[in-house]
Amino acid sequence: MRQLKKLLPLLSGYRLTFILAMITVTLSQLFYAAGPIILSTAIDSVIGSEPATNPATMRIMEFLGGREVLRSSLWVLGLLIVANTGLRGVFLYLKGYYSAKASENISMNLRDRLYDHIQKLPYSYHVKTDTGDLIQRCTSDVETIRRFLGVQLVEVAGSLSMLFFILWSMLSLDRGMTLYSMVLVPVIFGFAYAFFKRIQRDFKEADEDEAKLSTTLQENLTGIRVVKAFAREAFELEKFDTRNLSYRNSVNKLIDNLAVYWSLSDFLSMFQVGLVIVAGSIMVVQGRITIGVLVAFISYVNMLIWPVRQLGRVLTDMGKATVSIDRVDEILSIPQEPLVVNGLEPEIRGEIEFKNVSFSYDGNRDVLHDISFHLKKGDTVAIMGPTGAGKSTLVNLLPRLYDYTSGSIKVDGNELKEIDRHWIRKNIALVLQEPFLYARTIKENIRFTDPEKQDKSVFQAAKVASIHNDIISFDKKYETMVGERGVSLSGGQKQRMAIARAIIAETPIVIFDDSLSAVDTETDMEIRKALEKRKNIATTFVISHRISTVSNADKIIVLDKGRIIQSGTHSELISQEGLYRRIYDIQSSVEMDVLNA
Amino acid sequence: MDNINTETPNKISVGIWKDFYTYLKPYKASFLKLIVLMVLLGIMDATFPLLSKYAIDEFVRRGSLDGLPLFIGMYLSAVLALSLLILVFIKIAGRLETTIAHDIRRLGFIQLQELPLSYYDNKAVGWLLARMTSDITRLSETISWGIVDLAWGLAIMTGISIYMIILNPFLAMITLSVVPLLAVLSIVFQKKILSAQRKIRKINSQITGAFNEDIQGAKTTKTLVREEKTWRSSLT
Repeated sequence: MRQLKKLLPLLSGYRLTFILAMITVTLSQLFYAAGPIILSTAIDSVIGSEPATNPATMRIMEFLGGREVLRSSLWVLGLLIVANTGLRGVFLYLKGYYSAKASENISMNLRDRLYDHIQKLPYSYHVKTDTGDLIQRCTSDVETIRRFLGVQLVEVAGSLSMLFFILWSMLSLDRGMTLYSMVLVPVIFGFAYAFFKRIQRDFKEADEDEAKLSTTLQENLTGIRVVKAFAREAFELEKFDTRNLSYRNSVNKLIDNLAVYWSLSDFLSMFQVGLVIVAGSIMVVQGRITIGVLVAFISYVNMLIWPVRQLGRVLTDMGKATVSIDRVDEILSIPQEPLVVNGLEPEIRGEIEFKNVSFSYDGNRDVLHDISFHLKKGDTVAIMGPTGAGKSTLVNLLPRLYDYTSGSIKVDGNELKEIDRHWIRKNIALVLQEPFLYARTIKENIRFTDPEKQDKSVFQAAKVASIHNDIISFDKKYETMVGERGVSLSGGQKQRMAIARAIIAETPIVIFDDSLSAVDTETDMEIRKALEKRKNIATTFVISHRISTVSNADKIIVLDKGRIIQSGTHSELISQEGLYRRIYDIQSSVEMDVLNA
Repeated sequence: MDNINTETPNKISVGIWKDFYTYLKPYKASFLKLIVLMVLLGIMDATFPLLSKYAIDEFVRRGSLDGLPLFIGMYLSAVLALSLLILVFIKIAGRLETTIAHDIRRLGFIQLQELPLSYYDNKAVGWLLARMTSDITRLSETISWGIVDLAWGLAIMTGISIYMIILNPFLAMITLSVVPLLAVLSIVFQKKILSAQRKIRKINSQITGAFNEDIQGAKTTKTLVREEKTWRSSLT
């Protein structure tokens, strides 16, 4: 019930359509339940000589001309049955139409909502979340919810209304027989409820295993080039096999349980039919009911059996749907990152001051300690240090992808935390370590932040990023598709595309987070030369492991274990003992070896 | 890109059924067991109305309850047999479905590892992901439950037709007179449904592809402040 309540907000806008689906399914069941009454009346009061006892049946018989007329024109009853079935068909069609309309629109809204929500979740969420699992929740789980809303929920309403109409019809025929006909129904429902409550965990396990399988598959497909480059196919297959087998086993466990449920529920259902036949036969022999009534009861109890048999399928889907609702709700309940909170929107020029800044991801262990430095507008600062030193963390604080836990960061005199997130991000171009290109043309990717940018600007940015020559070598040049459905670019080409995308944005602050790592030294030099010409236009952060990349920076900061251990210009740092000097010596000797080789 | 949008024919070809058989072949024995079970289930299902008829003819019309305990015994045996058949049937059909899905996924994965890199140049990960997950689930469902449903349906229809003809050939003919009309309607709707289903599967792949791209690129999207872009714009 708790999960079903979560569905209510999703129905918003389509409640009327959903109600219409419920009404039409109820009406279809009303006509369905009327069938055995027509049949029993035909047997007892038209063909037979028993008086019609039901006032509604009597009125209809009189309307159709009375017993004698009907007896001589049995086709009228046949027509009545056809009309009754036809009307049921019309309402079934309408039920299908309305339930499909409501469920399709609801699932579309849910997908939109999920997409929008995911895009607005904090950066930290995307860093630690499996793409495959998220895709599974946005597609397969949404589909499960759609199927439940569009098919099963309406079917439940149909079954309940049918139960009501059949019960009403049965009571109007014979109370004693009604008792025999319904005695096991509560037992069947109770058994179904208890059973599915117990195996809810199995549904969750199967769904989670499916998500793990999707994640493994997604990771493999995304990194297929790396897999092939390192000949890791066998390892990947082993990993996939483990997940595939685990998913198969968890579904098998579920099926074994369902097999027990279905066979037991069928046993109880058919036992109930048998009870009606035996009790009814005894009652007819004793003269307590007529043959027509017995036939009607046998028809009714058989009509009841189908929804009861279907109950297993309904509860299976309900079980899956509740797990899916929880999984989707887990995403939707994560608070969005407040992008616009009426913060400051000052003019950003690029003067930056870090003062005793510390930061912790978990609130316990600081990964940055007491960081202080000052940059003038247009300065270039390089950040070096071993893996895990906190370089990326430090630059991620500037666009407020994370907020510092203590100290102060001022941008042009304004405290960073008071500046609107959206605003500061619009003023910073961050080129990530692993660049992502969208499935669009090269031109669209470069001017992604501002599709109105002129071609001239696109070409200029590409030239600065040393990617222009590569682009014009493609058949369709700037109209070439990239990303997943386009040409495959090398790591270096992707990085340069991302650099061009950052340059065209013309922001006052630019951050290169190790984004020249896949570029060869020569191209690296070309890019640096081009960027040098833009010096004083933007304050630039460069994270790199190459001394040649950072040596021209106005300031070099060396980080280790989250602390600044050295800072200064290249000439200052090589003249003192320390990490920078050691890296310099190592890289210089390697270069010498290469030159001498 | 071209491969994603390739139009698919609106009819089931013999080749597809041959492909089905390829996946089914290693489990021929299980499948045959399943067909036999299904036929038995169909016969059992069709037998229950006969038991009702027996009760009405033997007890109600004759006005005597002689032989009622025997009838109860027969009925209970039939119910018990039906329940056991269902238990075994669901276990075998379910396992067949999961095993075939497991095998197809494995074969698909091996194939994906062996394909040249150029194959991936114009294939979106999400598109491949949809093929490997939801499409395979549908395929295995069709192979196991779909074929089984067909066998069950045929068995129950044949059983009921035979019983009806034995009981009253004239009434049986009247009842069965709608079957040709139903067959024509089924063929007409099958074409429409097939066409719609294929469109749905295609759109499903595109949706998965769009989600995959945008979730993968979420970090970049955040740094570029383009969160407001709707995901439908990613659909091609």
